[in-house]
Amino acid sequence: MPKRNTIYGSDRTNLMWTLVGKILDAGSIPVQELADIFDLSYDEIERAVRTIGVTETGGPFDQHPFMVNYEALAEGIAEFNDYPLDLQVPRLSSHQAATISAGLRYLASVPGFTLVDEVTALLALMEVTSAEPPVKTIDFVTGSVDSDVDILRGALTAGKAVSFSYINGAGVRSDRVIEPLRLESIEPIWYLRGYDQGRGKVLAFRLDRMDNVQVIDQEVTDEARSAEISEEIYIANDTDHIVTVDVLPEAYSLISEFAANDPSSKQTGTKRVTIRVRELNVLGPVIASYGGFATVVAPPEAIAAVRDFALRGLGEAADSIEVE
Amino acid sequence: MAKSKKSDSEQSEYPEFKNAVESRDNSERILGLTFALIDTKIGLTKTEIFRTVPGYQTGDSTEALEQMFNRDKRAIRKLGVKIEAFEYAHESNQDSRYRIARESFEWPTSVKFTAKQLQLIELAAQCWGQATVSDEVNAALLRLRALGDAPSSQAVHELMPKFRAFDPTFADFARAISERQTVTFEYRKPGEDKAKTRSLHPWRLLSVEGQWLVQGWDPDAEDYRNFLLKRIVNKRIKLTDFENEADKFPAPTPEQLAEAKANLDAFSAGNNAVLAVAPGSAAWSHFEVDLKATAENPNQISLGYMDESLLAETIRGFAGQIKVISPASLELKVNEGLRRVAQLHA
Repeated sequence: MPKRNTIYGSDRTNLMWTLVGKILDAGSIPVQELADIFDLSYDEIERAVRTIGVTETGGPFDQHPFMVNYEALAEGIAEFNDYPLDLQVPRLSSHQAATISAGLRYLASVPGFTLVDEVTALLALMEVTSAEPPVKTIDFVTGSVDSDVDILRGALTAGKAVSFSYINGAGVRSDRVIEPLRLESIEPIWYLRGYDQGRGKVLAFRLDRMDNVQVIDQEVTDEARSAEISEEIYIANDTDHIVTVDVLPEAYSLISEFAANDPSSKQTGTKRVTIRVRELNVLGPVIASYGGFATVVAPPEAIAAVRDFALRGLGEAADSIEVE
Repeated sequence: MAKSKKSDSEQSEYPEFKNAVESRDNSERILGLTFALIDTKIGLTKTEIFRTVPGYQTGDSTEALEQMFNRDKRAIRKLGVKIEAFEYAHESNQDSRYRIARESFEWPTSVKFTAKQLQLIELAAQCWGQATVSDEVNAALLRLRALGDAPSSQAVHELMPKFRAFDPTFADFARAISERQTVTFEYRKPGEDKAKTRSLHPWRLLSVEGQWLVQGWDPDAEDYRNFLLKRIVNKRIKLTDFENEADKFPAPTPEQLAEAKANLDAFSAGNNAVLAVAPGSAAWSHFEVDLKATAENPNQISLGYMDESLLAETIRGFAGQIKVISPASLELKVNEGLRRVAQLHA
């Protein structure tokens, strides 16, 4: 990730509060080290230190609470000559502590996660930082996590390829051999990102559409390891269908799930958005699940795909399944 | 994140540098204000702030200065720092005084994190992805990094769990919870055409199988309530910038929080569905039927659920592959939804 060269507003205020505590704690610290810690550019850190130095609190003595040693700064060292106001790194608000804690608890809930003790210790530290009585203001209840998470974690650790049977979004089944690179979730769905030798690229697979997952005796190749994993799970193709959908608030989640193009800033009522799908067959299950809160309005073949799916569901629901 | 191509080459030597920084943004003024509010024991009135804190001597009207001060207070609070407002009874002018309690600002002990702990924290922060709260998470992460004894490696992780925090109301509720603000919103129950206005003392955001809900106390019904965020039809919740402790709703006791959760658990525990699933279908893989079915009914699973309409949504996504054995109300919801979809796409 490239280092950020300029930060503004609240981000910069937060950086400067934090720098004060860090520099006071260290006594003297290279600017480059600060840049590494905060993943920012050298110049940005140096500018922030200079701003801290010129900041005044007003009042009868018009004082500078942190007097920067500018000679040292010119040599790449951040330190204060004097600091009438001695401060530590700012603590987290109870909300911030709650968000980080919720993330930690979620990590610990992943099957096969081995650092549970470390997480417990960190959770205790998060509690002492909270400015108000600590409350679990953000919490989660996980359901049954897909049993394949454990097998795939094993394959990742061992650096071995996996084979499985896969049903894609359009309902077509195929057998796959994939070199696993990363396990990713968007709660509660888990995805495997893995390299497909045949196609020469990284693909994403939903764990809940995999069957018969097996670790096979085939090493993950260097080619796979050096392949780029995109940030987004879904990558747009030139051949994608562009579909226009009307969504009510109950179906706004479709906007983020499909990275929809949403030109309006409306926060209520019906929104008209466009989404991209590789095959029209994937629309039926998605739109039907919303039960009327999302309606495809164009193109006609997309409307038909949804209608056919819903009608098939109504017709076949009672008949095609054998009940013991 | 705002990005700009402004040249910074002229900003080299103090004091010329000062003016250049001031033109960049308000972070220096806010920094000075923060330090002034921490440095005062008895608090500062607005008049004192406008007179002495650098950046406020603009020559603008008092009204404009007050607006500036309110914006700055909001920015500071948004970063999770608490500004206290109080009045001294013996003061005749009754102006509010403001201060930041040092103990509420600073990290309480000299906590240090190892590189491994910091990596876990980075991973925990990543759980929030691009969610609506990611600004606050990033601000927290920056502070936590300062407590590390070595920079954490930015290596790509093999494991990347993420929450689903898509609903736009999430951040508003998170703020309302931490500021103990009573909120009102429009909530549409499944099967009802019109939304109803509801009030809530929000206590907690809870994700149940990937669906976020807000849990709290309904002051009208005088009972615990849970609302699914997706069913809130106005996606911007109105919040205020009040300062008096008296305006906040009472903080929930640990017993109340436990009871609210037990209440929801008890509600969910009573819900059980039996589904027959077509072998080899996508639904079969999704529900892991081969692991969960019994020998007597190898195509059937029994599962608990929190909300019948949510389960109906999942089942509709597998329409044609699942037959609802029970309850009948679930089957009805599944089919009603499919019929509506078929009609809307006729």
